[in-house]
Amino acid sequence: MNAVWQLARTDLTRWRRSWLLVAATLIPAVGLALMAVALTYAVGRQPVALVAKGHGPVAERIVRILRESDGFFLVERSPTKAAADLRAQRVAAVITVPSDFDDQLASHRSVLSVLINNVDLDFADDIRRSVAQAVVEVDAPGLGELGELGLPPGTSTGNANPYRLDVAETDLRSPDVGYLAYQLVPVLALVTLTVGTLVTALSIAGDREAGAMRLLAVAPVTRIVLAVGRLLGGTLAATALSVAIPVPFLLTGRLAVPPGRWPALVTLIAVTALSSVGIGVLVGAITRRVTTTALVGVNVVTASFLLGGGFTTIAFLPDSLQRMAHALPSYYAINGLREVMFYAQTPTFTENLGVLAAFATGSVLLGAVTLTRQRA
Amino acid sequence: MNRLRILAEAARLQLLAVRRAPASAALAFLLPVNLLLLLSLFAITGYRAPTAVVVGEQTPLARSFVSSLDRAHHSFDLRPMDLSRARRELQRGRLVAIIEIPRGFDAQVRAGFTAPLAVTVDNVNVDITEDVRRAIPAAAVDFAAREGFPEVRMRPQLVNVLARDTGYLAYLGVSAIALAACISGAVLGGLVVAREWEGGPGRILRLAPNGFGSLLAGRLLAAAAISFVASLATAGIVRWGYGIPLQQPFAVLGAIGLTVVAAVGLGGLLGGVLRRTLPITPLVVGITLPFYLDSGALEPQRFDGRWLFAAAHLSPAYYGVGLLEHSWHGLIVVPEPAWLLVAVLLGIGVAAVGLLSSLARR
Repeated sequence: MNAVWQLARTDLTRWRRSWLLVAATLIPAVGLALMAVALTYAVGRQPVALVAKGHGPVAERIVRILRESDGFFLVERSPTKAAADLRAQRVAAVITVPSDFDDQLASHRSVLSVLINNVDLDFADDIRRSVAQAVVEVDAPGLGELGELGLPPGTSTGNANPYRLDVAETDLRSPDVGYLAYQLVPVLALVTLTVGTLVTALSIAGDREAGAMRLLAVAPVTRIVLAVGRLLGGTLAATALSVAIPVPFLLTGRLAVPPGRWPALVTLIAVTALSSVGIGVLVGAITRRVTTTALVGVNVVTASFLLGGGFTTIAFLPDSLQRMAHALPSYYAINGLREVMFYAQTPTFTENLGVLAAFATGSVLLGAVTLTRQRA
Repeated sequence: MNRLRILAEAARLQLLAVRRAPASAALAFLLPVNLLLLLSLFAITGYRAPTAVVVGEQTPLARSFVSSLDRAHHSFDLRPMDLSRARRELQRGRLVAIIEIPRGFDAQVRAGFTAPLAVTVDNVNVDITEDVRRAIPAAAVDFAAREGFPEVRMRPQLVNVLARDTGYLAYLGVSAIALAACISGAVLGGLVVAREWEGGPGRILRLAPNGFGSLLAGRLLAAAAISFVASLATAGIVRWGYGIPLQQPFAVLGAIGLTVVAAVGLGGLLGGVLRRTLPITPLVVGITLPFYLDSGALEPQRFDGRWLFAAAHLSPAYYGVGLLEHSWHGLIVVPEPAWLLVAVLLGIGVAAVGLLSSLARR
């Protein structure tokens, strides 16, 4: 037991004392985490100019609705300034309420004109949907204010409206999960994955490059002690950082662990850490130089994070891609973490934990076999 | 030996070294392709939310409403199924929403009444949830217009600036070529320069009669050549793998080349500052990825506010994305003119190599 701890401690101390190793391990995780935060802003609201020429009661009402819409940031502009802003990409669209907006209502021919910079389908569609929502809200609040009316689940306003449709909405959770919180949870898996993989891989490659492998080969310890010691170092580093990193987000309320879910969360992180060191052993074993180890490690970690569902929901992808994702521990880690953090029930928690435990067991076996071969 | 010959010889020897030990170059090749393919997943799931549609009756108006849902601005990937399966799939996180069209829908709507739809939403991802909530009114507008409901008093009139929409994958795929050029260029540039110091030749080369600058420039030239080929491979995947047509092939080549020049120069400078190979790849990846998203990679960057727009100008990815989207799709996604983007990319490359040269002399 002492030998296992000494090996793990040596790996941890060497990692902690070398700024190069700390940087190589943490920077990709920090970069991908910042990418997740940047994504939160990139998929958010767009700036849109409003040209309000009509000032009748309904025109004023639609302007109010547009102003309160969370689909875009509305800025009021003159027609000339709005056109100039659209050209200069200060706004993504110009919404014009015509001067005869209210007059045309009687003949049912009122038009809300929208000129969209459709350079990219994603945000252009966001604006198209938001404008339709605002128009509908005037005569059919039950349809236009979905998610905001505060009605009991499964009930509708029951009011008649010109679109002849009403919606009774039921949400699976209350309140909505914010996009930043949704993106932060995979970051936990990412940190675990990156630290576990890179600490282990760099430690093995570093030992080989420095010739320490040969010394370890004649050390009076069994193969399994050597393997477990190595795996323990990476696992401890990954678990400690993964538990420490969310603390500021938890303290500031950007992330909240549901009551009673802490044990499940820490177990998931620890098992993910143990699975990721298996990847680290593989990377460390196939590379000869530490520089190459960093390159391969970053490639593997990035692929594993993104294909495991870091920025996407894997269940929404084509079947072939889903099958690929199912072969990665990151998929089960991200799935499990999202379930624990956001879902009232956790129907696949046992499955996720079981698969991660299988990956972790495989890690220990792989480590024993690989490190034994390295000794020979 | 004049400086030009030293430069050519250094480039030749660097290419020879890469041929003998291709691991680093191969991996610098693989990293951008890897990122392109994986970022494409984001584009694939960025729209058309998987939604179960449970239709209680096969009537003309029920079919018409389903068709309106399908036309609601690329919002839904509609999957007809029964309610119990839909609930199971929603609980397992495989669907975003269930839309139920009740029995008697056609008769109620025809009689001028308001038909209730039951909508169940998995609001775990507020971005997709809001898309769904906004798409239902958009479908209602389309449904009312197609069926000619007389009570509707107003409608949105949508006019596009451009003749055609550019799909999300087409937009993101092209911007990912700039990412490829930035990452492969900076990694290779950083590695070839850092190796000069790490291995020891840096001290010896400082005594070279014609200086260190030409030699480093030669090394960087070789790195740029490899990075250019790696970025072309990424562009090839976008063009032929994803089937995204391009408008100006020569301008695209120029845009890739200029982005590579800037990235290799900055990577070389990083290598010269750090003088260690180990942190080069993690640092380049860690810095480039967030800057990539803050470069107009998903939409024109100015839409994300003044601070993010200002920060975007710090990275060559911004100028590369602007040039590439312009030359590939004919889109203008940055407010600066193309000549300025060209000048900035060239300027970054030249300034970085100049700084590296002066750093090497110290």
